Amino acid sequence: MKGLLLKEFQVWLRTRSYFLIYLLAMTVVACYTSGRVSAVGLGVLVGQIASAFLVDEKCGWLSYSKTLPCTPFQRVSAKYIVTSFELFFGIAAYIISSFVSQSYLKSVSSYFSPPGPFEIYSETCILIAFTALYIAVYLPLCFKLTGSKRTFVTLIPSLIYIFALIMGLTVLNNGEWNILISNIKWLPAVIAAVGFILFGISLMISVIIETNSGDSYKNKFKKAAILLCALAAVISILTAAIAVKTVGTHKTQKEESDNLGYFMLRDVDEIKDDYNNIYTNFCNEFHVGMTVQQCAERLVGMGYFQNQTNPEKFYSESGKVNINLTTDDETGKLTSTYVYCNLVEEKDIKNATYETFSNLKENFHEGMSEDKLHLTFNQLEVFPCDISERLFFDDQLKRHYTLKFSTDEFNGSPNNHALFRIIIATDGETVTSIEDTTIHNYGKGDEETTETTETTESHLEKGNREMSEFITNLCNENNIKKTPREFTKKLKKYDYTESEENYDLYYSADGKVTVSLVTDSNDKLTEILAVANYGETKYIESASEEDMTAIFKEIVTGMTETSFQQKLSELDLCPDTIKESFTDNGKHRRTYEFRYRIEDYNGNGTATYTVTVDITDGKVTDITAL
Amino acid sequence: MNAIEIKGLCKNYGRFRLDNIDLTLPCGCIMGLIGENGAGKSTTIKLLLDIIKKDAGKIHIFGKEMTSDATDIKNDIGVVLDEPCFPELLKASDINSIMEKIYTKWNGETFFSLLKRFDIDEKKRFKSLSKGMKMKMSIAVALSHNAKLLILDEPTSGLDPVIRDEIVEIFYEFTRNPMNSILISSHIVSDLEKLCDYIAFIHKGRLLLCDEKDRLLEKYCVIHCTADELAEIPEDNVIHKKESSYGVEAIVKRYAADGFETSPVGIEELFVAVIKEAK
Repeated sequence: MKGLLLKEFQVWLRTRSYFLIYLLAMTVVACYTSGRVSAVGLGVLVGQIASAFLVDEKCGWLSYSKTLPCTPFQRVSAKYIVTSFELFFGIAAYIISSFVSQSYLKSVSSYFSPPGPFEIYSETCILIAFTALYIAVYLPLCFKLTGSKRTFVTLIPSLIYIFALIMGLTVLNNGEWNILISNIKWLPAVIAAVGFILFGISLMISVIIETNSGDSYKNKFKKAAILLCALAAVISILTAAIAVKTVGTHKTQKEESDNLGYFMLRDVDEIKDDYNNIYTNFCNEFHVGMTVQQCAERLVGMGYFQNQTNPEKFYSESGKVNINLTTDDETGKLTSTYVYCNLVEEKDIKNATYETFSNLKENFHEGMSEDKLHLTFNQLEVFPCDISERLFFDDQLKRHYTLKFSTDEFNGSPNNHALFRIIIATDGETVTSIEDTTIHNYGKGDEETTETTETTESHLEKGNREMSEFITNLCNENNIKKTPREFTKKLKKYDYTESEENYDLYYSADGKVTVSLVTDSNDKLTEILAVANYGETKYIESASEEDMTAIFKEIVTGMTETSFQQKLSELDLCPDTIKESFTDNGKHRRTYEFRYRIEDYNGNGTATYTVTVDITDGKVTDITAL
Repeated sequence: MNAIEIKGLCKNYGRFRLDNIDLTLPCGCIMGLIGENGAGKSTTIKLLLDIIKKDAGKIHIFGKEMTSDATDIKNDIGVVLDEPCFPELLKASDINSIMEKIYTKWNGETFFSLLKRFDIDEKKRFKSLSKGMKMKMSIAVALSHNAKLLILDEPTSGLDPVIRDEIVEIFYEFTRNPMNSILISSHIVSDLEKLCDYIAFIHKGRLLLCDEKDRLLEKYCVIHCTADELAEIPEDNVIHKKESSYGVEAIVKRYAADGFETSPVGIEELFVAVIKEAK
């Protein structure tokens, strides 16, 4: 057989010198496409098998080789070996071209995510299986048929192969396939192995076709072919059964996770299990040092979708669960994960007051276990609207349960909308902190309020709500401990963009909030300063200093911020700007600014009147009027 | 021991049928298989070499049955088919490398010396050679592995007389070894007449005659006579007759030609006569 192999390879080398050009062409094509199109090149490559047979037939080698001292098995094997070589050469060329093109695409687009080793492994196995199956059908036809009949008949499987290859590689991006291979990692290898078994069966069949005489010889190969068929069938049936079961199980799990948004649970164990369904899936799957691609493979396998513009963001089919990955800029490896679940709408409470919310808050305290926390939710029949969880670079877990309540007649005032928020932080086992926030509706009048509330919330309500959110989220002791880079990553997650003139200054998406960072010589955050401009300067036709002073007479130093906010509500006052800062020595300061444009101030013409109220550590410390 | 024994060989192609061919070639002899185009010569050779599958019959070469995996038999057979049969991009050195690994008794020196004798450029690719040179290359391959049996299917077809003569001379040299045998098919009878010990006539898939050449030549003769004189000879003994205004020329069995002036018959004449009568 060595001589036959030598002949095949010598002819192959002399007729396939264009392969280098082919490899180059495939790479260039892959750089400008998804890479799948270059798989068509594989079809072209193996289509050369027919031309090889044609060449042999035309020159008379096919007949002559039968006169040589070689068995049919040797003649057939030589053809199969060289065809396998072509097959692997084509697949290697495809992988190389994909790698080069993916690296190129990654370099020109930071959002592009090249395939990881597992993806390459599964794709290669599928390629091998497809191509082996194609050759398994193709070669016996080549041995059986001659001349134009061979060319015509073998054209059909060639076209089917090219079509199936492209479709098959597209299916690899399908979520259900990812479910399968993430749960049955050996599945692609089994598929490739079945392809090889079919290849072997095909070889037996070709030998039988090639054998003109010697019944015992034929019978021997017939038996071998039947055994291999049986083996391939058994492996295929077993693998298919496991695959179907895996997909079915995952669908059930996914349905359950989607239903978490509707908290109709009565039992704390159910709640706990459902939380664990969300978090166990993630927290146990992810660890520091994983790449985005590895995380993506897992998440997509669980049925989550990857954001096409930002590959570090994922979302569930229901949209209720969002996952953000944070990676190191230099290594691209995972440093933390952030999971956010929006579960239920805020609970509406009629005629609520501060005491209502304060009493509610009294049910939760630092140090209580998470089990107790869940039990309390159940007892009070209040459930978190949002749950977020962050897994930090040092594997520290932080979980936040956010309870939201709204009321239309806050403190008995009609059309006085308020939103009360309790944020409970845990480390996965016990409650570590509890914060609350109240956001009032500073409505300017019944008519205006009616108009805005009937359709959309007022700009001020939205602004106040966002301010409160950002204040809670940005200017706090947790964030001051971050490095500037970590903090800016967080800002970017909230759609803040960096100023082009000042790298330590960031703007919100609507441009109304600016955040600036102050760092020391060791690049450590010393202060976070945020300014939110939501209100508009109010116009007054005519007023005196006494008039203006009277507006703010009930705002006095020493009053708590809560009382101050309540007073603003009573007086129907609205700040134009809120500034907030948090320093590394734990000093928290907030300044409310009120601006007025008076056409006739004290009879002296136009003036701008500004009142600033400083609040430090929750108390009004200074009131200035300019 | 016979080099080739064929018994009851049959192959059906629908419109053409090779029907019960019985043929024996003793060792050390040369047999010529003569037939017109489409007679079944190539089919017989292909069946003999297991290139195509037989429908019935037995084939023994060197006393062993010829099967698909009879590699030991094929090692001792040199084959030249009617068309040159090497991939066109190969050179002589490539062919040498390939055959070296196929035949256990391949002799590269013999191969290259034959190429030199045939004046074939070793560096030229097969496709660059003329038809005659391609055939000579094939013959060189057949002669370079110490074969005991040469099976040649129209090796001189399409070649000019000089080359044909050269090739026939080479075959003579081959048969100087008393154990070497040749089965050669051709429709150029003159080549075979010079070379062969045995002659077999095939016509439309049937073997009409198979006998030693000398015996055939002795068995038949040509007579010139009148029609009346010819009528005296039993029809069974008259192989063929050709009437003209000068009389009748007939090929008859020699023992039936007593009293007539005879002249020797050539194989070609005999062949044509037999074929015409068969038609």
